Amino acid sequence: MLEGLPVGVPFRHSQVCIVVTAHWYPVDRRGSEGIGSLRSTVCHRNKAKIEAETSSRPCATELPQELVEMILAHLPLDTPTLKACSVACRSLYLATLPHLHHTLICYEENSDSAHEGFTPIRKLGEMQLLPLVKHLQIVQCNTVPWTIPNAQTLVHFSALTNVQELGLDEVDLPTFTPQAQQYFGHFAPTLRSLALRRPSGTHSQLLGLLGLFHNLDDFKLISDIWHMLESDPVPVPQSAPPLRGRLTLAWFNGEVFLRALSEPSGGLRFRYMDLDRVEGAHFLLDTCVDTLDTLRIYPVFWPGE
Amino acid sequence: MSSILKVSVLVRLTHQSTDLRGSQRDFDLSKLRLLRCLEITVWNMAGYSSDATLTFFGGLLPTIASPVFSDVVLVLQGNSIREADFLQRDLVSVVRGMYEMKPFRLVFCLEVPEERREDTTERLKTCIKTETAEGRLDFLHCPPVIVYERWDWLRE
Repeated sequence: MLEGLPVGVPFRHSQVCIVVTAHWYPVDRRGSEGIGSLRSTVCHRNKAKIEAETSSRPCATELPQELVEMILAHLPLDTPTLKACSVACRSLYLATLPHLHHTLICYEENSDSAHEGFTPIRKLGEMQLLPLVKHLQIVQCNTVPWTIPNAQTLVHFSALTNVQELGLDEVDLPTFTPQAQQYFGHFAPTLRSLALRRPSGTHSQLLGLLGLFHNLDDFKLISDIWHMLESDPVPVPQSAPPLRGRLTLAWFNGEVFLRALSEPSGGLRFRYMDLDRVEGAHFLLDTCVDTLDTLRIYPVFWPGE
Repeated sequence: MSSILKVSVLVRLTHQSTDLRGSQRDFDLSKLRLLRCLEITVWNMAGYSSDATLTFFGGLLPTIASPVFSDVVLVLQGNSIREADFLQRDLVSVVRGMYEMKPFRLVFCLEVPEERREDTTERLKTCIKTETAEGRLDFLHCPPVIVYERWDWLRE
């Protein structure tokens, strides 16, 4: 079924769901309460016919797990369908787990309950599912600076052993960077992508944070006019992450920082750049002449001018 | 940072942005040997000025010297994409002008929240179909492609 799908053509999720349930639902009826719409695709079928078919069709457990995973690999963005599949049978449950827990988002909603934003980490930690998390986002929902997790949460942080992407909102670099090693240092072997939105501090503090993650390929920094980092003398680091992937910068005024970052490896090697109001864009283009595959620009002048 | 400094930085960045937007020198892409794709974000598409846009691209596209260059991606992003935004008459004429400067495969990239993905994709498909039926996209050597990218939380 999947081999016939043309690459690049939008995939209709419902096709997979129908096939999956029609074959598997009769075999394993656990979780029928949560199957929702998927269940309806088979409920109208004649019950006796389903019973008869069950004996002649392969059991769900006989379908190789890699095939199950191939099917679900087409649904990474479709959380409702993944949730429905996860309650259909054990094979699907196991196959959906990595997708459902791939991304963990913690919201810091207000200063009175600063650490409640980390409740999702604690809950997943109690279920021992934290090693499945590959993308961790800590999002700030108010104007209070990002709160460093307390000791209780820190225990669960240590169970996040496979984080590849880390997103931090409104980090106060002067207070955060000195302790970042303690909280996020163990991400270093696996972390490939770091995203910061509206951090505060200086370019040298930012460089110190990047230096913690020696396998980093992608870096995003989205700021605005009111949250730009302060320029300061940026020392050339002894080593720097490889940074061979994607660079996204918005409202960034740190050409000196970029030059310092490129020094240890003799240049930057980004394949993708997304540059919006960036000082040092010329330097970036010049240093990535042999690697840049895609460039995103923001010609904001063009409406109405 | 004091407010005076912020204003100073703003002026500097605005000046920089002006350079980035308008200067052929700043957008000289001739050194990029492996450039395959140029992505252009399209905001507030109402009220296009074809002339200004084409002047900008006239200084940009001819500088591309990469032998593997193939795609121009128009990025439509955000929560508020309307049907009228997709293929305005001015946009089609801008794309035609750009194509005459340097042929490319036209790609539309939708960066919208997941819950709006299917609906927005369908509406864009309908618009493209209409434009194609009316022959306004005949200048392209292959039909436009639509891709989807997850809306980035950092941009919210």
